[in-house]
Amino acid sequence: MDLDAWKTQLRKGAAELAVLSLLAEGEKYGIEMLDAFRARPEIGIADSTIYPLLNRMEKEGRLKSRWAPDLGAGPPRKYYQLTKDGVRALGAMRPIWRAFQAQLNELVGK
Amino acid sequence: MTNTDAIGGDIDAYLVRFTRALGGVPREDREDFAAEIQSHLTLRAAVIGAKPAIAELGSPEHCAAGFLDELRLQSAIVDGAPATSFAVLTSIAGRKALGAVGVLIAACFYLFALGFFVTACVEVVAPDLAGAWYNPASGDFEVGVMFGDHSASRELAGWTLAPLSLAAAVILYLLGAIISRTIIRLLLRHTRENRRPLSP
Repeated sequence: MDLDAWKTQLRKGAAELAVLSLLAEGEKYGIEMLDAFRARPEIGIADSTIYPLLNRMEKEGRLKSRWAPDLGAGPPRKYYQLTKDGVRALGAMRPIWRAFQAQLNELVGK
Repeated sequence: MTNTDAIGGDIDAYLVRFTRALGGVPREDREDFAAEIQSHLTLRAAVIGAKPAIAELGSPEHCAAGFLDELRLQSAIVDGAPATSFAVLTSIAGRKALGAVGVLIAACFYLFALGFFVTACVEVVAPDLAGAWYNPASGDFEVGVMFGDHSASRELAGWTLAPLSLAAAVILYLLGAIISRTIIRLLLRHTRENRRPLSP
């Protein structure tokens, strides 16, 4: 059995929910989000995939961003936060995810 | 040369290739993407070094391709113009089989639409050259603009060929546009579903 293909299927659609959930904690820039995803590698969001994903979610109106200068000598950072649409999307996606997870756990846990 | 210079040189070289790979993207978007990738690489290189930071992102072309696919497909959907959709499909056809299939199918519809449009025009200005002919002896059926002797054939459409051809041209053109946009939507969904995951 091709487990990698199965894992890819599992991750379908979850990336957006993961980003929305992470940003619900407050605004973050790319590397902060990647650090959170590196600690949870099974979610499957990599360095090369997060920026196009953030860009699309921003263009679709679920995120907004701002550039902020670094207080030290580092480069400026692009911070992302949820828009009202993003908050609504997350609110709608959460119960769907929880119901899915609970029912699957019932089955898998047997 | 200091270590900082070397890191900056690697990142600069990466950004040059990344920006080049984003050719055709509006300047504002291109600069924004490059600035974000530069910020990412600079911050990450300070922690793990430039080469590992670059390795995490993948090649500049691979990194740019993620942005390009999203942008092209989105712009085609937002724009909605048949020419834009077809241009986007053509640009993707070399890399994705579904894009190549889309180009072939849409091109067939557009070519037939063009053929019927030309037939309608010729029927108006030179009715003898355009027609829908049936040859009872051979059983051949021909429609369009034809040079040659059709004395053995029966003309089926007459003057109605012009409006009928024009209607066929419009319908085929719209079908070509609908097919292009449908395939772009499928590609967009496929691209989102197949983002490269982290290695387990």
